[in-house]
Amino acid sequence: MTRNSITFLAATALTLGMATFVSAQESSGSDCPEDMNTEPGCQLEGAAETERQPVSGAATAPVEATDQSGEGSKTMTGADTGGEGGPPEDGTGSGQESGGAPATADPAPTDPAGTATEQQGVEGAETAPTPEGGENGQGSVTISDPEDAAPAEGDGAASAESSDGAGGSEGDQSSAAPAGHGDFAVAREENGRYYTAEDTPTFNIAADGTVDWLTYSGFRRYHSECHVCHGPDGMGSSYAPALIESVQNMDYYEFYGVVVNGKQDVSNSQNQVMPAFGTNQNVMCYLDDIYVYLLARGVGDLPRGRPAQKAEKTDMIQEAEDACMGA
Amino acid sequence: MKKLLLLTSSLVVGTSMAAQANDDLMSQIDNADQWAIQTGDYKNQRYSELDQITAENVGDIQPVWTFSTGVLRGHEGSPLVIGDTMYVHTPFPNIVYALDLANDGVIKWKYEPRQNQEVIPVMCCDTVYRGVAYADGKIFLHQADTKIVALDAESGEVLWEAQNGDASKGETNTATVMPVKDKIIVGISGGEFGVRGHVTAYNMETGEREWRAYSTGPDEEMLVDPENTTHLGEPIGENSSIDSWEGDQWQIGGGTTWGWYAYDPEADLIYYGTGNPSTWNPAQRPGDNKWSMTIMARDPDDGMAKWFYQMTPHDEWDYDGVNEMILTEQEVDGEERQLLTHFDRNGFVYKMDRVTGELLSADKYDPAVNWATEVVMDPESEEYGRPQVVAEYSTEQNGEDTNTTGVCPAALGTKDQQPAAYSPETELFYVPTNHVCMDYEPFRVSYTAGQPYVGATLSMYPAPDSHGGMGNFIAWDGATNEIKWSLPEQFSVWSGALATAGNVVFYGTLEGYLKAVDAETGEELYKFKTPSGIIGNVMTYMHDGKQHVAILSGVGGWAGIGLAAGLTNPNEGLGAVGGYSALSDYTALGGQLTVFALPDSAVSSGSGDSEGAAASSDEG
Ligand code: HEC
Repeated sequence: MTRNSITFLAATALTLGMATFVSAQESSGSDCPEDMNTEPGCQLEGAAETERQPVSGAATAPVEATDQSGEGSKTMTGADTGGEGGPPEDGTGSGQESGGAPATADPAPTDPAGTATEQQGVEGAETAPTPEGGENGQGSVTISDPEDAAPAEGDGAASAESSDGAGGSEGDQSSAAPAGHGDFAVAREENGRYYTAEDTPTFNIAADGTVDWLTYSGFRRYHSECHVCHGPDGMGSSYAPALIESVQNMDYYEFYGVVVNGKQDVSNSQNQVMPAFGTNQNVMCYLDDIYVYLLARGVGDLPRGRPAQKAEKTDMIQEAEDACMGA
Repeated sequence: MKKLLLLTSSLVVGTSMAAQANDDLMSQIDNADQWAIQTGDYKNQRYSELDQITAENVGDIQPVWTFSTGVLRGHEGSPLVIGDTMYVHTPFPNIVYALDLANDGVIKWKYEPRQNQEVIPVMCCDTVYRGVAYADGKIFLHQADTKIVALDAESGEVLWEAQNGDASKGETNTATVMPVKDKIIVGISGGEFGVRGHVTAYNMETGEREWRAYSTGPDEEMLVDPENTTHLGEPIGENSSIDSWEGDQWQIGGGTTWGWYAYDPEADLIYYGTGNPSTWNPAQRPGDNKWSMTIMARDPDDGMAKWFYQMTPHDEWDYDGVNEMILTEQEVDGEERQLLTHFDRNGFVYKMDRVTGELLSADKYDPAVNWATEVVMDPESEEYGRPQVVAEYSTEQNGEDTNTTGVCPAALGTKDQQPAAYSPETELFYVPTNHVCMDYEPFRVSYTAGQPYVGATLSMYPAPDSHGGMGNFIAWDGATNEIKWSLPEQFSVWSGALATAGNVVFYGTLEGYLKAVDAETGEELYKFKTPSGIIGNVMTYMHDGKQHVAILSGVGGWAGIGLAAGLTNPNEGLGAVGGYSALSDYTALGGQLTVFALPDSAVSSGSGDSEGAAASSDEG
């Protein structure tokens, strides 16, 4: 069960999660200190705030926050945000075409002239220096859980190994795959874990409302680790975004990256900081759980509150958990 | 000597003791035209002698000026007024503004500290800050990252700085400091990060650290005397804390000290409460977990503890004991007593003799409270002073990975830090409360320095079988230990109350209303909707012959997190889901100060009291 896919994930996280942040900083040209401190006089020009309003009840509409400043919103184009059908699955791919970073993933500080908009998000990433958070993420190599959810596309290196050890695909996809969840529909099942056709983790809700174990576990972990900022049931708080919306607007890898590395949006009026959880086993060992729980809330029909019925925890899931938590 | 003092009024007692306390601050506090300390006075009464605004004329008050703080997150605490200057603080980045009241509120100076924003995410519940303190011509700022800064009150110039904690370990600050004598008494936050709580005294002139008293650990580090420090009249004995934990758990055991502090110059004791033991999973920390959840009385000179009282041994619900200690002089059973009254998160109000630490009564102040039946009052009993936990609501007895349902109050308590007020005129306490219950499921977590250390899943919902709202504003009669009246509120009341000699009580609501009610009856006399939800505390001051009432708006804090999207009751089945209103339907972020006063027509020039009220029939 030990595997280095987490390293891959952490690295992906770096490029995706931190990309826009870093590049924006570089392009700002101001003399802000490295850590974007609240130093008086240090202002990222054009660092328009993208505050993501938690909009309650807006179950399907992407609540994408538009920039408060005109020029910022140009950058964000709202293009892919408006996307009714949800965001592109592959954040990496989409970024290139339609307006820089997947608009969902980054409250991107934009450059003053608004020129760099097209590329800044993704391209900047490749050259971005390793932020601290990333190191943390990599430091957590020992955490072995998330490998089951290895990526399927792009950086194949890590994904290749994902399928071994996971107990083979007994693939009774058919068992309970809910229809109508688009890109998040279950394509296969493996020892109680569910995956999409893209091989990213997803939820499963049976006809009688029984949720898969990970979704249930995610409910618990979310309300232990995330809810103090993101509000009950993923609905958002006065300052942190509604994650049931976010998971529809960012893909699994971006989500992963933000959690590993954190995310910041700090300026004179705004103090949005998402912590880096890369070294936190209570989060990292359950990140797939949290992710699929949020998907079930945002994409599926999982109502607010504690899921009423849950599937059994499989031995595989238990083993992965023990290995990850060092039990 | 003692007898004599007991007979004099509280005001005189205060003044006569000035030599012992901080002379300057005591005289500033005694001047009712000012608001010199966050808590109104050392006794935490939040009572003002000002009486120009009365129950008769408060309906005529109007907003007279406003001030935007430029910061969006939750705004707790209140401004101070010293002389002609008002000091306004903000949440992180903890800006301080000095406004010149004599000159149309012009900004005399502004101080914005440099802080690493890495501190933001290690603050458990929003980046709140409950305000600056004043003494001896200095303003004391305690930043989120636990740096303490003394500023020249006139110029804003930095006089000294001291670092109290380490934010990379999750040590943060949300509380104000309390100046006492020649010291600044300072607490710490971080109970959800396994921070080991302590109280520290710094020299007011130099910023030098003078003593530190931990809440847990070895006797020397807690500044206790095993023979002379008492718990309900008995010596606490040696190793009282260490023996109440398993292994080294106390080192990451919480007991943080982020609440309001009180000081009794006569007894020469400071009072405060300690927070929850870490983690929220009680199975991971067997024992009584001393001295978390404890009321502490200490000597301000050297920090030595005089008495402790642990309210919630081995907490299973996150009922931090940090709420304010309100000091009053009242009769109990025909005898005048020096009292300490404490409305705890756990839903009991404790009345103690503040000199001896004797427990006089412990009563539920919300009928919904169900986790314990009572607190044993029989000194002969083994269980003396301990709450009698109801098995059904015991997250310890139900065990790890079991969801314990229907526990009242919820973790945010029947009351959180939002301070109550006390009027010596009516002898009533005015208490902002939460009327919220919860399901609580503890599970195993591992500790990583600087990372959250929580270990429980919670869902909260309005108290069942009640009015459906999530709060009440109550008047508590400390003599009879009964609720005199209770005003239902749609949301938790998260604003500190103010009582005045004008027989008016003020408080704010999460929707953003400033409300004024009759101190005797609770009748609503006035309300005004400010720009954002209120979690700040109401204060009052006199300027230019007019009484002003001021409140910080700026929704956030725990309330902004839990209620932004509304609450649901998972036990009521699917039908009820979404049935409770979301705070975000009522208000949005934004820090602003709103200041109220009577219109000129309602204030008879010169006399400055209520006789002008009759003339004011409209808002002229
Ligand atoms: C201390 C508060 C805090 C905690 C705890 C926290 N977050 Fe966040 N999170 C934030 C803030 C604030 C933002 C917005 C950051 C920004 O806009 O730059 C955010 C953003 C995010 C985003 C990006 C959302 C988007 O739409 O761009 C994700 C994903 C996320 N958080 C996941 C999590 C998960 C999962 C957890 C629990 C393991 C968690 N967060 C815990 C404060 C927090």
